[in-house]
Parts: sequence; C-alpha cells; structure tokens
Amino acid sequence: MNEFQKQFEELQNFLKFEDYSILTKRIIDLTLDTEDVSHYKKTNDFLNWLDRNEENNFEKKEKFASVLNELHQTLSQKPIAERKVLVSASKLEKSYGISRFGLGPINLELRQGEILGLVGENGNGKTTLLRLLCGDLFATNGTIKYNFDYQDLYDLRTQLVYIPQRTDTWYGSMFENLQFTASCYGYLPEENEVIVELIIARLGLRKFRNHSWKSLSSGYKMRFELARMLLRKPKILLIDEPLANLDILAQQTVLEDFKSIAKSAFRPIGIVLSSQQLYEVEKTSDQVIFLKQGKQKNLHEKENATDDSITDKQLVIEFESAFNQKQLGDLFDPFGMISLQFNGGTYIVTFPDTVSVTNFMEIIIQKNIPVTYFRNISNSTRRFFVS
Amino acid sequence: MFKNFQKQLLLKHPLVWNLKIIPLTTLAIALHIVFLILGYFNGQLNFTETGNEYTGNGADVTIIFFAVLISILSIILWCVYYFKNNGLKSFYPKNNFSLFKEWLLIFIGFFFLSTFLVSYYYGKEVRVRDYYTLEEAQKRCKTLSQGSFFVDGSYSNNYDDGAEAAEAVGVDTATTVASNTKDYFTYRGRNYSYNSLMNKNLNSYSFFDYEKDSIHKEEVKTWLYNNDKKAIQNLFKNYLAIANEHKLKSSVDANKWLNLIYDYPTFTNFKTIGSEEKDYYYNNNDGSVIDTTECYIAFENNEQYKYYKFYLPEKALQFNYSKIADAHNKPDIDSETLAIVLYIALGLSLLLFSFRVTSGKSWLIAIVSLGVLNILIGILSAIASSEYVYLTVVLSLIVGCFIYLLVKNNQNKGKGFTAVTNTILLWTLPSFGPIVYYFVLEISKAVSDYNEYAYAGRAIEFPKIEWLKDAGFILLFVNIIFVILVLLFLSKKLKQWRGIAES
Repeated sequence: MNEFQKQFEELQNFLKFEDYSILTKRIIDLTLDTEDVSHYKKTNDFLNWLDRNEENNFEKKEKFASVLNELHQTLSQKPIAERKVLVSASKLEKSYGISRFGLGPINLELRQGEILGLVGENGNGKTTLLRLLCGDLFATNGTIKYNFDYQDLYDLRTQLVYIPQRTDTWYGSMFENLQFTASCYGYLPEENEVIVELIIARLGLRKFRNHSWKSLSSGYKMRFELARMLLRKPKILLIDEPLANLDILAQQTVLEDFKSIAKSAFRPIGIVLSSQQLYEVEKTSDQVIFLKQGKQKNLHEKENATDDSITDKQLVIEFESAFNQKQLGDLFDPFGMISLQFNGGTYIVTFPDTVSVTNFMEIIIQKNIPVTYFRNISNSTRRFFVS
Repeated sequence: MFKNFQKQLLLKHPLVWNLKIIPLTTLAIALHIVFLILGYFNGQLNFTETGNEYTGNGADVTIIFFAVLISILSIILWCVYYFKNNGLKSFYPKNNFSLFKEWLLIFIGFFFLSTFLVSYYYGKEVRVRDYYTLEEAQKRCKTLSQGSFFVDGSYSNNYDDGAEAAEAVGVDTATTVASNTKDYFTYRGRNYSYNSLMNKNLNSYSFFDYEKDSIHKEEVKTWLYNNDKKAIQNLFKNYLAIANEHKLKSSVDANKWLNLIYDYPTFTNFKTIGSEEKDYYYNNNDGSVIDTTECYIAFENNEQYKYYKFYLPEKALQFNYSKIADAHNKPDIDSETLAIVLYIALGLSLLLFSFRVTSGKSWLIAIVSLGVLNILIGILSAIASSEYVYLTVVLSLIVGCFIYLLVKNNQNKGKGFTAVTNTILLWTLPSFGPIVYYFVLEISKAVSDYNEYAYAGRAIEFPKIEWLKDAGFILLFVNIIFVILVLLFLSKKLKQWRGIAES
C-alpha cells in the first residue's frame, strides 16, 4: 500500500465517521495535488454547495463521496513522489565574533515530507539556524547542500520560503495579495482565482478574504502567511515560532496542517519549524533538534548517534506531587532510582531501563503517592530543558 | 471596464499591475491633456503688448506652481500604491530581465508624471504656431522686417555690412565701398551720409539668419537706389494691412508714410516714424534736442513721455511676431527640453529603483556617505587645485562600487556594504558617460596642443576634437542609451545580489 492509498483510506474513515471538517481540508489538499484546473473548479463548486447546504447531511455525504472518488481516480494515475533529501548540513557553524554567540556545529538532513522541529530556550540559536538554512545568513564554517536545481542564489531563495516571527504588513485586500503571489508564481490566469479560493478555504479564511491586515488577529495573520506559502510551492518551508500567537486549539490545527502539507503523496515538502511548544512540536515532527547555547542535541536519532543524542534507555518521568523531595527519594530508592530533581514546581525522576512507565504507576499506587500530573519524557527534548 | 482591465493585469502581468500602470497612465494622460489645453488657451497672443509693460503672465506662474505640485502629488500617490508589494524583497521568482523591466516602467512613469509643464508650454507654442502657417508667418515677418527699415531704429555703424549681402544678391561688390575714415559711405558708386536712410537697420526675426536679413535689407536698399517708390509703397501697404488686421493704431497711411520718409536720392531729409505712440522719455542731458515737428514731451503721473506725431505699431508687431517666429523656428519644447526632462526622469527613476532594490536605511546611509565624501573631495580638490580630482574620485567610485558588487556576488559571504554601494552606484551611474567624455576631450586637447581661443582653422587642424565638442549634446542622449544598457546588465547582477546572505 503506497502513501496515497494509506492517506485515502484515512479519508474514507473520516467520511465514514462524518468528520467533515478534516475531510474538507484533506479534499482540498488532494485537489491541489491534482494540479488540474478542472478539479480546482469542481472542488470550489463543491465548497460553495457546502456553504449553502450545511444541514443537508444525506446529500452531503454523497457529494463528499463523489468528490473523493473523482480525486482518487485522477490521483491513482499520478506517480508518487520519491522522498529525496532536500537539504543536508554538515558541521554547520555560525559565529558572530569572538566572545559573542556562536551556533554549531550542526549536522542535519531533511527529506521531502519530513518536519524538523527546532526547540530550545530563547537565544540559543533557533532563528540563526533557520536563517542559515534559508540563505539569509552565511555559514562561518561547514556546508549546506541543497539537493534540487536552482540557477542562482536568488532562484534558490525563491524555493526556500522563510516566514519570520514578525511578518511584514500586507497592504490592500488579502485576496488580491494572494492573487498577486499566485500570479508571480506563474499560475495561469484561468486557475489563479480558483486556486486562491481553494487555499483560502483550506486554511479556513473564507470569511476574511476581503479583510485588511490590521483587522486580523495574529493567528489569522499566520494563516494568511501559510496561505501565501502554499501558493509559493516551496521546496522547504522554514518558519520561526509559528505557534507563538496561537491558542492551544489553533496550535494543534496549524501543526496538523503542516503535517498534511508536508506529507502530500505527490508534492511533499520539507518543513523546519522552531517553537517553544515542546510537546506539540514533538508530536508532529519527524526529527527534533534541541539547541542549547548553540549546540545541537538530537531526539529520535536513528543512526550514528552522537554523545549529545538520547541513546540510553533510561526512564525519565516528569511529575507533580505534594510530597517533598526527601519523601519521594525514600519511596523511589528501592526501585533503583538514578536521580530525582526538583525543577520549577515539578519533579524529574530517572530510573534505569529495567523500570517501565507501568512500573512507575504501580509504585505511585502502591506507595500511595499523591500525583496531580505526570509525563514520560524519556523520548522528549524536555529532558534537555531540565537537565 | 477599468477594474476588469486591472484584474487582467493582476492575473497576467503582476509587475505591471503592481506598478499601477493603467491608473498611472490614465491619470498622466488626463493631466497632460488638461495642461495642453490650458497651454493652448493661455497661448493666445495679445497683439497690443509691446514688451515694455510685459512683466510676465500671472496665469503662467499659477499654472507652473500647480503643474509642479500635481507632479509631486501624483508621484507620491503612485509610490504609495507601488510600495505595497515588493516581489524582489519577498523572493518571488523573477527572470533576469524583470528588474530591468521594472526600472524601465518606473522611468517611463516618471517621464510622464514630471512633464506636465512641458505639455503646458507645448500647448502654448501650438497655439502661437496655429496663428499662421510657416509660409505665411515667414512672409509676414519679412514684410515687418523690411517695414521696420523705415521706422525709428538703429543705424549701421561705419562698417559696411551691405557688401556681403550685395554679393549674395548678385550686385557687383566692386561698386560697394566701405569706408571707415570718411563721413559718408559709398553704395554702388553713390555716396550717402551715415544719417541717410540708406544706412538704416531693420529688425530681425528668428526665421532669418544674418544672410537672409542682409538680403532683405539689400532688397529695400535696391528699391531706394532705383527710386522704386511703387515697391516701397506696396511694402507699406502690406505692413499696414498686418497692423490693421490686429486692430493696432497707426497715425499714418501708406502714402503719408512714403511722403514722410522719401527723399530721393540722398534720403537724408525724412521724418522719424515712431515705433509706438508714446514711449518713456529719458533726458540724458547730452545736449540732444527734441525735434518738435516729430514728437513732443508730456508729463503723466510724474513720468515723462515722448509722444510721436507719426507712429506705427512696430514694437507691438515685433514683440508678437517674434513669438510667432520663435514658435515655428526655435520652439521652447525642443531636444534640449527633452534632454532635461529625460535626465530628471532618469534621476528620479534611479532614486526610486535603488530604494526598491536595497532599502530605506541603505538609501539614507548613501545620502550621508555621499555628503561626507563630497566634503572630503572638495577639500582634496582645493588642496590639489585641480578640477580633475573631483571627477576622478567620482569615476573611481562608480567603478569601485561596480567591482565590489561583482566580487561580493561571487563570494557569497554576506552583503557587506553592498546595499549602500549599490545605491551609490545607481545614483552616480548617469554621470559616468559625461565624465569619461570630459576626460577624453580634455586629454585630446592636451596631447594635441589645442588652443581654446584660436578659432581660425580649428575645424581643419583638430577635426576629432571639434567633432567631440559638436557631439557633446548628442552624447547626452547616447549616455541615456548607455545607462539603459548598463542597467540591463546591472539589474541581473542586482537580482543575484539580492539572493546572497545578509550577513
């Protein structure tokens, strides 16, 4: 079963359980994958029909099924894209001069369809690494290799879309701005309007199409940036703190959007994003790089693990308890506790790999330890924050 | 329709849409038409005007003010819309020539938005030209010029300028003798007093060069010499017909005019015909006596005026027909005006283009840097006491900025100061050609012992230098083509430069 078939099966489940909200988004993604204006138009007509027939559940299901089938027919003929390496960086360093901040060495490799999360405290080099990868900064040492064709550096940067934390103001209507981008990126006049409509719908911006930039909340501004990014068809999307101004629900939606955009079976892209939202990023990312004082620590390191990566199998649990450190230490010690740290209201306890999460829960119950919250951070960069 | 057109541009030509070419062109065309019409209506001649009382047209001043104001406002308005999107800074795909295309469109935009005054003056000139066809205007100016021979005016000096003209019309020059020592001059074997009408000058119009004027004068003198009263009377009739057509007052008719001036064969005893009814009278206290048979002095509002008993509207006719002749023959809106306007548009377009390509910050730093550099070069020039120092530094600056751009593009180790140097390069680029021209000319003169003040034989002795000097004005236009060609190449390099890392 190829990637598309897996995705299609997932969509059929959405249909089966009438999860129309996510299904609509994924239908738009598939429509964009067809790169065929006739499908763009059909899906747009369907979206307009949906607007008018919100309550017509029976016909709605039929229509969804019909659109899905048509898309399936077209896309089944289309070759699945290979997951090629997009960019690889080797011993990448950026120095801002003696006794000032320095980033690196960084080693990374990003493939099509992958999301790379950059995490770390403020001022540890996340933005610097993003700017290095998008060509906005040059590396003091090391190399960055882009594995796709480009004529010159300008041409390269047209294919690397970098969305900074503070974006520039858009002037005029949002819709016109997106049409301008589509036009600059070579969309044909007959597909321009319809593709902009689709992308606006994809990001839930139909109501805001004629709004001005100033009247939008920062969350919607980010969504418009993403809409523009989609029109730009980047090879790599580099995005700095996309979750910073979003509520928790919007964060999950945006991350889910990233995932489906990156993992398109036909037009996969690479995404590098930085964030402080550790657990959310870890859930979405294929790789996570933790940066501390410019140094790289990898999570999910598959091969060639370095000293900095998490290679041991220790069990690390973060939890909150009314007990003090001595009480907890006494209770955990008999189970081979390696360390117990108190960290800003939470405890971090480390056990050897012989202890599992289930064992930990058994200890809690057995010893009647009052716990209000706990999380297994053995495979989370959270370990680096607290260590 | 207008909106639909804009939409089509947005879909098919985003750069043109972003430059707001359609609203800009529509606005510019409408304003040019308005100023052309204003010019046409304001170009009407007042044939009673003599130039004495002419102190400038009040409407002209107002219209110039508004033309400049509207130019500035429309440029600001255009920039506000144009600045909304910058595809280059957002790294939108661009081909190698799209930056050049953008600059060219800005250049054309500035050309149209900064030339409302030109349309106004062109409208005025068209109105003045419309009075008479070229042939008719020339015919009338010839009549007026020859008629002015018999109206109060200057006399030739002792030098006889008729010989050359006589030769031109086929008169035997051997019979025309110039004399600097006698109190008479000889014309075709006859002696005439310097006070004789035969020694009178005529008023010229821009249609006629020195040779043409001499021919016209010779024609009149031949009529007098041959006692051809009929021809002269005919001239007067034609002259007065023109004056009457414009309802201008004269105190004589053709016959009276002839009687007052005609004194064959010496032409010494004649009455002065005033060029207007009254004129300011200035008592020079030089002992000159007013001939009361010809004029009288009157006081009006504490001013002294000389009233002529016999007068013609020569001053008014000359003042207005000179304008007609100039409008046909040497219009204000000519290649020189075009060169000025083109260079203004070029300068403005490069100012705006540099801002678009680099940034406002680099733009300001470039201004300050150039200011400081100018002071330093000024001091250096003063110390060296050489005019070449300044130009050499400017030339080196242009070449240096250009090389720095190429080097940085190849290195890809950050932009360095290129944002500022690129701005300076764009600003100073139009001066490259003229400075090189100046140096080539000066070096050519220096190596060939060229004497600036020895006019005779220079064209034969130094043909290349003379050619260079004559070609100076044409080279101004060639320089614009040179700038366009350089920008064609430079815009490609600037696009590449945009792609290199900031730091």
